[in-house]
Amino acid sequence: MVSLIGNLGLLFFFKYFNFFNQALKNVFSYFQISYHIPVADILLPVGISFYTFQSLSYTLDVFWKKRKAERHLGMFALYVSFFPQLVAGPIERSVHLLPQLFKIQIVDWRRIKAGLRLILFGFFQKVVIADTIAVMVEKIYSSPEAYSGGTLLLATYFFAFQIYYDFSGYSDIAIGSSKIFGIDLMKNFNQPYLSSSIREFWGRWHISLSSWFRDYLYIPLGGNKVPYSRWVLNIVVVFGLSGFWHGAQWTFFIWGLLHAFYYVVNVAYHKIFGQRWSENVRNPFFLFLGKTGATLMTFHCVCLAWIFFRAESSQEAFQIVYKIFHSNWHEIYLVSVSAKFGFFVIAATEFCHGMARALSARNVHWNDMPMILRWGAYYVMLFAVLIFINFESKNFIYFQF
Amino acid sequence: MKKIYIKTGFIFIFLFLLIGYILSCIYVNMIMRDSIISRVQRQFYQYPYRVRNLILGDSHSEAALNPALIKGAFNYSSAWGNYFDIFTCLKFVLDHRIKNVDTVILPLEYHSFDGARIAENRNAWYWAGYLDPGDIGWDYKKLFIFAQRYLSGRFFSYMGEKDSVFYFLRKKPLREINLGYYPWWEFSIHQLKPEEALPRVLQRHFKDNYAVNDILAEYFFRTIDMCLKNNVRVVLVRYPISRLYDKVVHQLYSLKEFDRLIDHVRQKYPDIRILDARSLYSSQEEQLFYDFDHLNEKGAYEFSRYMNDYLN
Repeated sequence: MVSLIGNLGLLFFFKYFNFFNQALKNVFSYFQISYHIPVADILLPVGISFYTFQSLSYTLDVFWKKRKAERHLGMFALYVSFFPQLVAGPIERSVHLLPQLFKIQIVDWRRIKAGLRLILFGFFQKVVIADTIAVMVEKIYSSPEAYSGGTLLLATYFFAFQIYYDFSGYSDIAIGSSKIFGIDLMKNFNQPYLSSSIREFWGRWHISLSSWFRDYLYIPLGGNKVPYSRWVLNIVVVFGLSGFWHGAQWTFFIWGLLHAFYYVVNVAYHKIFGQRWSENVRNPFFLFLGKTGATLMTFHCVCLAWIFFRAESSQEAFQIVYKIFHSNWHEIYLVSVSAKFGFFVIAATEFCHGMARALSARNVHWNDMPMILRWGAYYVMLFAVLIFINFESKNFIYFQF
Repeated sequence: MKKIYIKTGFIFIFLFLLIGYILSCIYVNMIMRDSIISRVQRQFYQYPYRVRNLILGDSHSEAALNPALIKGAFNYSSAWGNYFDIFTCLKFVLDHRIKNVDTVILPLEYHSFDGARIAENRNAWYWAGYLDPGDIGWDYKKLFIFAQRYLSGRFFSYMGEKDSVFYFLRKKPLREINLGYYPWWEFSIHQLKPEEALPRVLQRHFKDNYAVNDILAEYFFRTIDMCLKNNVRVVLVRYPISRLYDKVVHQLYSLKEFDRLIDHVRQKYPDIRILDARSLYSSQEEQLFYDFDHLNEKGAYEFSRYMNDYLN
């Protein structure tokens, strides 16, 4: 209990105190009651949301007897502050990470190679893709009133890929770095935009956070083994908190609620029509068409929610949504050459992803490829990173959480 | 197994450097050959006359002094030049007795000594040609700067230059920004007022806090000593700036260290002339300034004539 209060108290103080303080102030001033608690001038510690959740997972695992309490303070401190994933995850579980920390590590060149490969791919995603398209997203989202609906729609698509490659890039760098030290961290992304439903999307996007909420909040709340109305409430609570986890802003909360809505509709739809569709349609072409349509629809629903995630305020987000649906789509303004190039790189990377997946399904692994192909890919990525690197670019997006 | 991995690692790094070097040569000789810094360098070595007055410095001196209006002058300044780079370049010129220089005109400005300048790796491909490893010694800070300049200059000169590469690939002429200027319109397209834009400009110059960098100060004094040893006259110049620039710099940063440095220069070299032209054109800013701290063509005309009289 002390641990829960301590961890959540710190998180609340640093991240949410000013938000709730301001909200209370507004309520009190509405009723014309004086309110004197001042705004705290505090800096948000980097990665607090991540390591708080990691500590909470340990406390709850011990409480639920999934593991014994750790007696080695140094190892526990290392578990909470393991540097590759300290600032932006993946959020690890005590049952997965702590036993690995006790293992005696020997230098394994294969692991080092695999780790370096992941780091390189992470940098490629961040520097070449995310930062390149960020130029356009930032320009358009900093003054959305100046752009047409088509341009805003395009910027939203770009943001969807920016945040994905930015965070996935960071996760790959973190996973690769710890791999070098002989520690396996959990996978955080699995091509989320290829999901054909919101439920599938949450199994592929920020997996460490969504599974954390599933294991430590959704299931203890009763999961889906409760009456329907209670289940809907559980989903709203989980996604609402997941939104608030990202930051003390209404935009994040709305983002979470939108996903809760999608999730409820998605599950209801599957209950009513899901079985019938796959049973009735046997033609592979129509099955493919149906799957593609579902994937596109899921992607667009996610993009709609991203508008709230990215916008400076909820009013601005609603304005953007209104503009997208009510103004010219043919007036699309591309900010720079590199933005156009962004399309190409996204398409090429997604294609390579797909190829890798297809090959891995046929048991062909990266190390089985001819050396010239592997090294060629490494050099292309390395030099692309060098050419695209921008020393004035912003940090990883998830560092702010 | 271990040996194989080490051997493969070495081959990988060797090939990486080799490809990097080839790409670097392509970048410098095909893309950067049109940049201002490259053209000035070619002009300097092809210049058939004796250079009596050699102007060195950064974009302030580059913009402010028209060498055609100063007797026997050559403007060898380049944007973001700092005293580490100026020293290496001048040492090469003096050691090889190129152009028999009489007078060197050097900048004495806030940002000539700020640490942000030495951390910048701009135009490393250009400065790498002047680096003298023998001069660096075993000071780890200087070794780091040397290694950084040398590696990025020789092997990775295209680092962070995607715009230039794109322009070249699309067969379009390089934009002004890629040629070597960082012009005011970069801010004006963001529709910023001068008061909003200036702190951003200054952030580029000074980053967080202003501090005189030890290495830059050391190389500044070494530059002067080297000139005096070679019987070359030194003139230090504080170039014209707008009133707003001067005001905002003093509002945002503490410049005590810089003032102390100037006092020290005055005490140590009483014979060296220091021209303080900061407020020379404060009544004609509209006509003579390109932006907050750079003169325009007219301004350069006026200031070059003034400088010609001052020098001769």
